[in-house]
Amino acid sequence: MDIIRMIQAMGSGTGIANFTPANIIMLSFGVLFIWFGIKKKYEPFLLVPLGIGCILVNIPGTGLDAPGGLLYFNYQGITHVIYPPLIFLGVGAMTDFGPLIANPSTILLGAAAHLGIFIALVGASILGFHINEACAIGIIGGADGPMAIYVATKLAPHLLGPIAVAAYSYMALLPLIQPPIMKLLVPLEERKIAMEKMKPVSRRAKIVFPVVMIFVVLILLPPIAPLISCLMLGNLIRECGVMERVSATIGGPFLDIITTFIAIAIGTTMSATNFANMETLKIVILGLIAFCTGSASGVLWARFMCWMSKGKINPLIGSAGIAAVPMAARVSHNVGLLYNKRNYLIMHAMGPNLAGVLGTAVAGGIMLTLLGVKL
Amino acid sequence: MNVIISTAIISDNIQGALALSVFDFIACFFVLWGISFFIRGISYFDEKYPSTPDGTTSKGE
Repeated sequence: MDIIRMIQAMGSGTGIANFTPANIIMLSFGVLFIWFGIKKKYEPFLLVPLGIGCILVNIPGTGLDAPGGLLYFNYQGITHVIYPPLIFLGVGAMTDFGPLIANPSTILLGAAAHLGIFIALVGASILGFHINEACAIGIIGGADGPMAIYVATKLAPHLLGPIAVAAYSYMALLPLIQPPIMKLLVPLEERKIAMEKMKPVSRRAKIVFPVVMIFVVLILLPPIAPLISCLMLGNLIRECGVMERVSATIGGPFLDIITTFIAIAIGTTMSATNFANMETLKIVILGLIAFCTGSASGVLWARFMCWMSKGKINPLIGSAGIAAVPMAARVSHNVGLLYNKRNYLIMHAMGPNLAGVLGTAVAGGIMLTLLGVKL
Repeated sequence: MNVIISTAIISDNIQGALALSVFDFIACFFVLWGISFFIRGISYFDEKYPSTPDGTTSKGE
């Protein structure tokens, strides 16, 4: 009799007894993310830890995400906005702003590709979200994970999970999302345009750039100081030429580690109780609309620039105006290669791609300022 | 607990969202356009006073 009771107690203490259908659905999402990351190689740095986080939090009874649990402490990096500036520090250290300095006119592509943010914002408002929530959802369209987390933390912390998951998932899935839009909107002849080689940028200009940007952007938009200051600090460390070891570490292993932590933390927001509701579905759909319309508006603006420059700009670089660095630039390059084997668009696409980072930060900063957020 | 922080200027309705979107999009455009002029300024001074290999400017400063 006691043995039967012991077996029953053991059974009720395992995860199997507490599984719900929603847990199983979320676990399958976790496995899908890992499959996309490993098999399809879609941003494995993001998708593999994201999938693991999702799996860990959906196995009942582990207590990993409860206060005091390992994943709970990891999540504090997002709650207290520690990870996003650190990611920006690493991105700054691995980013060459040369393409943007060499061709500053492409900065407008970074603005044009942010139309998706505002379409999603209005869409969210129509669907009944509060204006603060609508802004946090809209910023998904900027395709800038750390910025999406930062704005969501300030404006709608209760929606942080679905917003972060939507932002990072769509960023990782850009190679699937953007090419059909690019092919639909750019005629075959324009896809083949080979762009001229960019003029070289001196080391001094690259050193002055982050310092000037800190002054200009922070004076205009103080609410985004944590992110832009870290981005530019990282870039100054890279470009100054006297901190190679620090630069290589921040832009390499440090960034990889923080990305792993942040992706696991985002994965842990994908618990069945948080996710299995209509609100999440609305956010995921609005995020996709924001990504698609942002990519489309960037491409259309690039076509306008192509026409203005009498065919010197390949419109495929327009989709890189959304911020996902360097994935969006890589997509432009890869699509360009399909139509002209000798067309290397990657550096040309990095200009609008970096402008996209600044554009998302500016758009988010304006939202925070107008909504009267006290930092 | 759902915490909504103060909404000072923008009203919480579709008109507010539309107004914020249009303003933010246009402002974003102009801010980035302005930044492009700062970048042009950096390039202009860099070309006008090219640096020598030892780090000084062409005027020996």
